[in-house]
Amino acid sequence: MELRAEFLIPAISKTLKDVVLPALDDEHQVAQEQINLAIGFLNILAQQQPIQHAYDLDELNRHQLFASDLCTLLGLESTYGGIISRAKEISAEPGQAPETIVATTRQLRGAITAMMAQGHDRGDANLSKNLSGKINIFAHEQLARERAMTAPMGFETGAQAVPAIEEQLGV
Amino acid sequence: MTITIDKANPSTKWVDSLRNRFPTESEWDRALTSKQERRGGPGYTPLSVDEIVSCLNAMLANEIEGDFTVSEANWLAGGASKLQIAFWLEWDKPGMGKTRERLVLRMEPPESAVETSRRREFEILAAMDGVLPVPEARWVDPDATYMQYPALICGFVNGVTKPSGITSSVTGIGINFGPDFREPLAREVMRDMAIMHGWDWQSADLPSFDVPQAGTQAVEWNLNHWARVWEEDCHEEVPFVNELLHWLKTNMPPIDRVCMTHNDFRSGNFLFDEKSGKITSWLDWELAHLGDHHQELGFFAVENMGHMSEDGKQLLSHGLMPMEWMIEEYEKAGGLPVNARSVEYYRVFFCYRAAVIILGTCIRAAMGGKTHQDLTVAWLSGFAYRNLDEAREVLERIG
Repeated sequence: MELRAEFLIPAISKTLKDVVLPALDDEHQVAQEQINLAIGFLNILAQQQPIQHAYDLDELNRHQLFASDLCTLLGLESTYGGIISRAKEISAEPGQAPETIVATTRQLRGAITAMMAQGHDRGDANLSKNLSGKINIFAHEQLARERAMTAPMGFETGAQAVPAIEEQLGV
Repeated sequence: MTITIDKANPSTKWVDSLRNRFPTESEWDRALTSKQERRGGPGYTPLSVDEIVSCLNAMLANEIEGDFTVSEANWLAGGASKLQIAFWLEWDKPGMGKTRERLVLRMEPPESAVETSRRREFEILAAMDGVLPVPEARWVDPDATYMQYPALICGFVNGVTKPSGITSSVTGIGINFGPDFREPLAREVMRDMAIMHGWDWQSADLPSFDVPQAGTQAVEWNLNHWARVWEEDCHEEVPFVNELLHWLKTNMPPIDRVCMTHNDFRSGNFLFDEKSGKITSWLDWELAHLGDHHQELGFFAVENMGHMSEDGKQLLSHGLMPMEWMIEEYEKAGGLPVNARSVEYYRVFFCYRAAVIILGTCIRAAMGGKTHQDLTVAWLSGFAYRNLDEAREVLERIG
């Protein structure tokens, strides 16, 4: 089967750029902007595709570890222990479907958000400070990944550079 | 037990629970509730210019006595949130006689990057006339009685948001004005900011604006507004966004003097004349509210909105001048006293708000096919992570 995304995405992008874009009316700026963005997104998808699975697995692992840390700190095993255990299994078992990995990370995001809120709501200043410190460290790594993954969109100009996503993921 | 909320088809009960949880200004509340009521409805269906002009004629027939003609209507590019059409109107203008003038129709798509009130935008545009250079407010259709969606009509103003021939990211992020324009423009920006903050809003007719008490009420209304937007729109949780809200709520600075804030006062939201280098108009007043003057300064402190000077030695705030220069100029222009800690607070606020808009509303609107430029709003998502990282660095430093 030859019709695969790795060849079709660049082909669609090239056609839009070489054929469709020059044919647009110069006066129709909105249409020109949308076509340029479509080409840009296709190029980004083509770049992300080879590393997407590694990215998703890494994201799942880090969320699972952070959720587990929070759960233990706050003593919330009875509420969140199940989802964290399930995430650990999925993370450790090779061959999981990409959508399962993404959906599990999404559940962990919700669990982390809820645990943080419950921790802050206890009104213990020291605990809140501890939680804030932990999430800052977690966010530092998470945002470095996300910034690197979206760097081709052009918003990183002038910013202190983050390492390339391949370097961060070790792929 | 986890309760799953279908945010694509929100229930009235859930929306009411958010309204109670996040009390905010009444007109903001009305606009956000209206968006939720439309959430389950159809996406954006492309409108032709002719279809829009047909409704425009109906609207103007209700506003204008006598004959009039609409001609040369065409789409305006720029911005990520509203449908905009420029057109010529020939009519018998009261006190002026036969007049031909170029106007702009500004209309909401079913959902956009920010959900706001045309009624409120119209009021502040009218009120600022003569205070700052703004497009002249003409007519408003706040409830879409005539137009396909709520809309307002204002004057067309000549000018550019960036020098001809340069490129920038969508919606004007990271504009490079060049060495010739940046200092004079920066001086005008700070002068206009000081004028706005010193303006006597209490004498103006602003019925859609709730007046906060001195203290933290305005800050809390503002935070609740964006916290509610995040709850309503986010597709997946971003724990650090909620952490920023926690920090912002814990550290709200009291306001001594309530003043009018544009709330999106930045490069890309003013037009200037390339020959004179003068600002010809301030645009996009839809987020304006009564609040803290540090808000505007905090926005200029967001480093991600700027770029380095050509020699690589200075960070130019919003592509204009270094932040210290901007604050000095604001003070020279008669601005209100500046508290550095409050500027930092609003720097974090704008990073938080950017994440709410970009990762919450923009993604949600694009997923639902709700705008006329879904790819533009989706593209902005790439800007969220730098903003969150900037806020994270500030919190790491100041705690």
